[in-house]
Amino acid sequence: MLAALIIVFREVVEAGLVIGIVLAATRSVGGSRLMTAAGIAGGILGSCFVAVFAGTIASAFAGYGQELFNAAILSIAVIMLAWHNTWMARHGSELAQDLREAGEAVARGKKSLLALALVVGIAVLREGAEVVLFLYGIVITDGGSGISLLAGGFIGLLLGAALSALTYFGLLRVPVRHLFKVTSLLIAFLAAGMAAQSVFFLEQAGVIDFLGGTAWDSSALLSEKSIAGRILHTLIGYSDQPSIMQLLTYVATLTIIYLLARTFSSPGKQQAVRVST
Amino acid sequence: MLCLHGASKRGGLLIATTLALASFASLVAEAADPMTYEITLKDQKFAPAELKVSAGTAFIIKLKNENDAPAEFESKEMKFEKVVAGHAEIVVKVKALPKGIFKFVDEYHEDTALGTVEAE
Repeated sequence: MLAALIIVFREVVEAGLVIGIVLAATRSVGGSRLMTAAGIAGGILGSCFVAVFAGTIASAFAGYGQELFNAAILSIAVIMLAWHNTWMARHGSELAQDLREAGEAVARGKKSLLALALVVGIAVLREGAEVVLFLYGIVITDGGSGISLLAGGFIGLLLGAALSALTYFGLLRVPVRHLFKVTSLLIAFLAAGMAAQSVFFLEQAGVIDFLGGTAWDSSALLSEKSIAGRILHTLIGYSDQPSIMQLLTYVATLTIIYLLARTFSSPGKQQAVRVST
Repeated sequence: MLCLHGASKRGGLLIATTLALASFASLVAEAADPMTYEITLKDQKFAPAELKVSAGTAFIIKLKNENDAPAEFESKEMKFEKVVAGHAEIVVKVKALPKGIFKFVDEYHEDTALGTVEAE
């Protein structure tokens, strides 16, 4: 039972953290909770589909369908996160400072919310399919005796939800005027980590076949597969044996998100130009 | 207007770089033809459970799952983690290994379903 609990919990760590961060990042945007819930529901539904078609996906693209599928959905998540951060750089200060202005920003924020709902859905989908397959495997091989294993699995799921809540309430302790900065930073690192992970899958599929040398090996220090390793992996993209290409992608993603946010941010001057157009 | 122009310029550069990288990747991918090893997973046992490969050369493992239940073929040390449905087959690419012994498991039964790759 404990084994099942641990297997499920470590699969849901990533989704748990992402959901907590997204909830905190969109706290002041109306309808964000509903959108997040829709993202979770969509992700679970998607997980079931992916689990059912796991064989088909795996055998697609000469046996590398799973890797390409993961790389594709991760790339979408990275773009959505980058978009959200750019949007936040422009409108975040309005949301934080002036409630009257915020009304308009909230209306325009719906698109950004949709982007984050998609990110939540993808985070749930990625590991969710594995949880569904694992639980399904228990049911068909162990039958009735699998009940305690199933119970363990569900407790693992609950712990994942608890991690979400912990992340969310932890972030709420950050003073409101700093919250946007903190969540924007978290989202930038989340995106960079996902981009590097996407490169990993492309390397596995043989699509990227250069700069594949190991940049460093810290697996003896902190394994990427331990719970702490997984949390760091999600939060800042920690990898115990990243390839040089992964490292470059990581740095490039952070740089691009920073430049986008700076280019489209709304200091007084740009705001004046925007009003006149 | 100015910053919009800058952004589209950057976008163009990004697309050009991506295209160049992609064509380079396809060139390299065609060059190598790595060795493939086949492993079968039946009940909670891999056959063969011990694989010998030559160190310093990349290779491919083809895993056939003969169970009804899905499995997750995983190795922390060789850097792969891939779901295999019941009665299905998957392939994983393994990078060139240094000399040594490397473990792999079915993550769903990691206490019983395990095997090793020995690179020498």
